[in-house]
Amino acid sequence: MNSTFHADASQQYLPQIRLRNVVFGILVKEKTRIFLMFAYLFMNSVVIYWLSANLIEKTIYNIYTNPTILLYFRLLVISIPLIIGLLIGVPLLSTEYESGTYRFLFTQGVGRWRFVRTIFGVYLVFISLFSVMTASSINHFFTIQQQAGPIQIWSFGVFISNPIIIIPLTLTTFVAGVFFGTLMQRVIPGIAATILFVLMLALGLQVSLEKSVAFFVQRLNGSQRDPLLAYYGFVASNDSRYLFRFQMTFALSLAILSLILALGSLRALNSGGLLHRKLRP
Amino acid sequence: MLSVVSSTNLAKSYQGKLALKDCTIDVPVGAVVALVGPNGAGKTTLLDIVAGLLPATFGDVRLFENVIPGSLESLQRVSFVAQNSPLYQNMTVIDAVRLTESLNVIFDREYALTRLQKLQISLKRRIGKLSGGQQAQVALTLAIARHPDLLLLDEPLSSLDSLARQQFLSELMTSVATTSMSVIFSSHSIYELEKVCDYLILVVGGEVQLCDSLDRIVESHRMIACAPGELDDYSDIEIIERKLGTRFSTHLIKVKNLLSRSALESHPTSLENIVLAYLRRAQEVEALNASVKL
Amino acid sequence: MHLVYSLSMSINKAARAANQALISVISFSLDLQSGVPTYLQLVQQVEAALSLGYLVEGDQLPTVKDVVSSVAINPNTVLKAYRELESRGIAEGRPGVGTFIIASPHVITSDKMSALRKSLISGWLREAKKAGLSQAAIVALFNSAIGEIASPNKTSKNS
Repeated sequence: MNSTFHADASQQYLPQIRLRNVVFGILVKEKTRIFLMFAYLFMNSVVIYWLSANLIEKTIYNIYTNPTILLYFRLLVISIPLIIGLLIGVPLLSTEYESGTYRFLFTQGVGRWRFVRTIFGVYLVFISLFSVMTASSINHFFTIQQQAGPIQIWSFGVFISNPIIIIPLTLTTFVAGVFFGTLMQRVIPGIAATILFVLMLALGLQVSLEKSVAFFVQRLNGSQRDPLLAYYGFVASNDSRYLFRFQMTFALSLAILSLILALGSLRALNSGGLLHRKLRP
Repeated sequence: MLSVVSSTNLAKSYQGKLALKDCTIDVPVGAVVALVGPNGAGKTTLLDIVAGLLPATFGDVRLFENVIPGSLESLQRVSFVAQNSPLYQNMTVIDAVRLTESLNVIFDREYALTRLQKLQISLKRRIGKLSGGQQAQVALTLAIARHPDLLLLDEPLSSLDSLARQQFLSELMTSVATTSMSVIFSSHSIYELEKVCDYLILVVGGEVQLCDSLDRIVESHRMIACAPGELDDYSDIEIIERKLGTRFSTHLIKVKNLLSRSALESHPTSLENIVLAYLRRAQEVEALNASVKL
Repeated sequence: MHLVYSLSMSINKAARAANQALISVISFSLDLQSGVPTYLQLVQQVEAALSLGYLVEGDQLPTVKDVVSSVAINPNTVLKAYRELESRGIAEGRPGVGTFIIASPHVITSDKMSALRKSLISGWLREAKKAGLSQAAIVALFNSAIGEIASPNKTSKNS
């Protein structure tokens, strides 16, 4: 493997482009996608507001024990990150390959590595903003209906049962989307791979939750058969502090996974071998 | 003579196929090079490697004597306009200008805007709505506004009508006249290239058949009509093509030593004929290889 | 078959009348099919313009940039043409200013013309006819020979 991308010694004396210029260029390039992302957020908030106003009014149950609301909540928690991962993450770099514009982008003076790092960073900022706002809006609309009083979104004790989980999940699916999109160099295969990955992640989540829930279910007198419902019931109670270690592990694992995927996609871009495997003359 | 691009035994293979083999080229600074060859010959691969998009499998490539393709220095000094001028179709022209400006150290915004105005390309228009010729002009303008030392163009004329071609070449030549930029552009036809280029690289089947200035190519090739065996005595002659006749054969030869040329009854021939002879020879070799494999 | 080159130009006659040093607007047009090298076509067009009186001593030839932006050719070709004009004593390059015509039109007298014609008919053409060449063969031979003379860089071959 020759060192085509190895920086030569004189690089240190080369003029560097200011970061804010690169960021500005990225904002010009991506303004449509970012606008659509926040339009989606707005649309979600409207839908959540409408649904929560109509669904919850009809029940006197606690949000965590009503199966319909729980199902809806589970769907939201998985669908919003999935949409972001598939529609923002996957196309990020794969469209460049599909349309051939990578030949323009990667021959600009800023350099491939620096550009990709920067666009990744810009998106992480926007995705974080998006997911925090989404989680807050879900939390807000659900808790206004909550009879037991509002749940502190930042409380670790209710980490999993809380819309806050959307934040790490969205970031993970975004990073996964970028990774698979870059690996496949095509949008559709990238989407397929990301869906597969996210489903496996969701399954893993469910399985690992069940394992720890089994432990806690024993502590309950609970007649709940759905382990997740029992779990949420438990979580709303004061014994939730015991879940702290588990929830921290969960958060950390997601963070490490995201980091691996992020580095993997950047490496895939830079290595040459993997990247150019599919390039046609 | 300073070289702007030089390579030694360059080879590139992917997916088991050898796209380029044993390519040794040397292009002087300031040249306008025509990279010619049939489709699939390896022209795009060669340009991709020089632009730093692809790593070579074997061999050495150097730009400006000692810069590695793909390094930050080469990216700042080299502009590449790929085939069908890839630009973001949903982006407006002015946004493309802004994007290019923000991603490069050197960008002559004034030149770009003046040029686009002269070409009557509206800045607010989406690139996808422009004609093929206009898109090519936008891509060229953005590339030249970076004031590159080396400009690479992959088949820039193939999708343009003759008027657009003329305008494109005019703009290109004006820039060459006013700067010290070197240009390499690939094409699968040699029509029109003679008046614009002063250097030719012929690539067929991944191999470099010719790499020299147009003048030297025309000077070093002659047509001779003689009996088939007559040329065997000359060791510094390479027979490129032989057309057998009943009494004598017509040969196209390449003369390594200009002095011996004067001993033979030969006459010069056009560049087009020379290139066609090489193309035909390569085709025969390929057909031979294919039949051997069977 | 004969050599064809087309010539087109426009001149600011009013400025000429005012006797100012002007940039003569001579626009070149090229014939790709003619087989004559591009730079030589430029030289020939300048010479023709000169002999027809469209260009006079002191006129400035268009800059390389101007030529190249109207006819898309390599700037070196224009430089080569201007150098050739210099070596023929027709033009002169003044650094920083431009290239100017320095020769008065080379007038070929009618006597000279008829003398050349006579020597051609009674000399070379007669020999060719005696050798049995048809008219087409004569023209072909003539064209290939003139191609040789046209390029002064080539080493002469002994025939």
